[in-house]
Amino acid sequence: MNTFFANLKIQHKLLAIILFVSILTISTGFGIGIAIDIEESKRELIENMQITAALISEYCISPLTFMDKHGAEEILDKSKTISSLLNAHLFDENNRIFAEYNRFDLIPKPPRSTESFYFEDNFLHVYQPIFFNHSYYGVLYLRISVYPLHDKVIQQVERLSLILIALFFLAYFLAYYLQKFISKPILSLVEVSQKISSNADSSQQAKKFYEDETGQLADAFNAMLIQIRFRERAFFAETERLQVTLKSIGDAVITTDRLGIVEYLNPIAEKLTGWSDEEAYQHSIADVLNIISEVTYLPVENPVRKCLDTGKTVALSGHTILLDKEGGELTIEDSAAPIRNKNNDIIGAIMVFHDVSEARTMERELVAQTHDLIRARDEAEQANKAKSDFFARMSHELRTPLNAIIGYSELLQDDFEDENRDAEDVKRINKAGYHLLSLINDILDFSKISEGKLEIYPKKTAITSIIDNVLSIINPLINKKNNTLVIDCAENIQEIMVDAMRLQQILLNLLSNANKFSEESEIKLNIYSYHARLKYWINFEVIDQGIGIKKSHLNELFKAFSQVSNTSPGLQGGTGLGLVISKNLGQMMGGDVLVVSEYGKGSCFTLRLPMQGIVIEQPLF
Amino acid sequence: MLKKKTPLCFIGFLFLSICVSSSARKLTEQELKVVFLERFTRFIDWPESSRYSLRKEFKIGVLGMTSLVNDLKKTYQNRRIKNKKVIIEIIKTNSDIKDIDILFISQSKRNDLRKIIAKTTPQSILTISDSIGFCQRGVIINFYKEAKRLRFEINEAAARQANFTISYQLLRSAKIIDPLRK
Repeated sequence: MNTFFANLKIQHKLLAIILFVSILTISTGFGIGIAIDIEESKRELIENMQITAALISEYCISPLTFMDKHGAEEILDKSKTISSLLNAHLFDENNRIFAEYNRFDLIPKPPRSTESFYFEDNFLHVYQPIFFNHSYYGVLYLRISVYPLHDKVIQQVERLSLILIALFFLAYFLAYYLQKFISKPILSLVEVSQKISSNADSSQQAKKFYEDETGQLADAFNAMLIQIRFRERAFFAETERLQVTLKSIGDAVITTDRLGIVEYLNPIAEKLTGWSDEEAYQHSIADVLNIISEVTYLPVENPVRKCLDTGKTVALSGHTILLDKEGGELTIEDSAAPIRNKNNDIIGAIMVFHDVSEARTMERELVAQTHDLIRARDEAEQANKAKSDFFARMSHELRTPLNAIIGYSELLQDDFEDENRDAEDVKRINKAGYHLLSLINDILDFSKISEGKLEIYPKKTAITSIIDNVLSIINPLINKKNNTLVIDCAENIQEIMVDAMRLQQILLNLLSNANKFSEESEIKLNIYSYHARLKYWINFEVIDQGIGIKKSHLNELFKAFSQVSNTSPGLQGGTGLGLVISKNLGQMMGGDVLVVSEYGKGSCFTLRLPMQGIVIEQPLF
Repeated sequence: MLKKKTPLCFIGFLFLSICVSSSARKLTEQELKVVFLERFTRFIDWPESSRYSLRKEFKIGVLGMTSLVNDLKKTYQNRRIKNKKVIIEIIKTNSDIKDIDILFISQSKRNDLRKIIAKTTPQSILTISDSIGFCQRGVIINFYKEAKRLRFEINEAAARQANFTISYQLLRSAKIIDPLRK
């Protein structure tokens, strides 16, 4: 009954409640009214009968006093005008029956001597003791039927029932009309919400009828709808964005729910597995992603399953073969991660993988190539080393006889001069010997450099001694070609930490080159310091006004065994290793040798060295 | 409850009725008149001017020859009227009619009746008789028989003349002679 009522429509519920309440109150009112009426009638009856009894007993006093039975009976007989009076019994002072009147037979019972009444078996029993001047004369007993009272009550109930039915219908019509004030907005709201839920159409609007709570409900509902619409749009945008993102990913992506049922495949995943997104939807991941071990060719545990079980990110990094829908094999690299919601509960898994078949092939080829290259490099290095070894040994072996040649040619020269003989030939031998020695030294240096055996020994040296040493060697050469050397050394540079011998070698090389390609002109040596790249540097600039170098030849300049001077064979001399050695030495000392040149105007060679450990007497700037 | 008690009540009722009926034998006409005498007094008030209120005893006088005297004496030996001790006096002559409350006039005084009443009325003495026609001649209460039943008649005018107040209860049972409202 309770669930029956609870499941009623709100309209019927309201109707039922209103009717129930009104009927209950009306009938209760009627009931109370009838009860009061009955009580009233009873009281009235009792009162009437008591008065009647009192009156009759008054009349009975004298018959009782004078034992006038006949008179008493006459009096009682007159009471038959009271229709509901069934019996009247008069008892004398000794409580003996004195006179009686019976409409219905009744054996007189011993009377009660006190005034009293009671209802019993639909009869009112009244006892009226008779007193006169404080003397007791007897008792009058009356038995009265209450049927007229019953009839009256029944009549009343019938009348009220009719009214009740009339009121019921009135209440029904009123309630039916009035309940709409409550049910109509709610029903309209229900209708709208049903439309929305069935069509998923959130463009509906709840109609607002009144400014009461239902109105507020409608307002709130509409506000909620707006929210929903807003969120829906945001959600769609987000979903679309996510879809687009997943589609754009260069790897294959598969997402599943908590149970490993496929929810989404991006296009690359579609391509690799051979399953379309629609086909795969609601399939188990094991169906879509059939993978076996690359080594054993046995099925391996699906990473999605594993990550759903363990809750950890799983990567099988490339020992897996994916069998696609048609049975094709692909080597893949995959990883799977659980998708967690805000509460950190796992709600699904995402798997990312990509085809590494091509990469694998390329890798293998690359490895083979690398092997070849390493071998070729090793061979080349070995050959180079053999060459360097050969050069070093050769040079060393050559120097010994050459020293003998130079030594003896000098002795011969001395002897010839003592004897005043022409020593021109001997001088030529000596000069050629020296030239050969310098060539051999160059080759030795070069081979040492290329083998990495050459070492630098920096020492604190005065710049002046370096310049003096260089001048003593280069001056005769310069004079020979009628050139002039101008040296400009910044005053702040006094002592420098440098391998003096190697510095001199470079400077001599640069200056002799300048001298070699100039005639009757000025050669400058500028020495100065500057700050760059968080360091202090010292530059040695050698500037000539010679023939210069063509731009196309600048790149060849520092390569071994190449000589720009090819173009001017008459002026050449040396192995062509000088600049290479200088550049290498400069680099080994932490600096470099650079060149700026204009063909036909002159060149500028710069040795740049870092000023490590340079002792400066005056502040630089 | 009541029904359960019914047998007991019934037995009690039976017992009571046996006792009552055995003790209350039927009264003779003579005795009835004596009893009625007292009962009349219940409904009659003596005027305050009379000697009635000054006495401690209730005096009944009997005039003329009647057998009622013995019964009266016997009956009221121990009973009281209007809560007073009862004294029965035999009145011999008319001049002795004084200082009494009730005077019973026997049939033998028929011829003297006018004089007797002339004496009793101013003294507010209740006159009672049991002779036909006495009431019409001025006696206040007179017994008579009707269908074998003892009845009485009251001369209302005479009672009024003697300044008696008679209750309607008494009047109702009586046959009224010379009523005040005709």
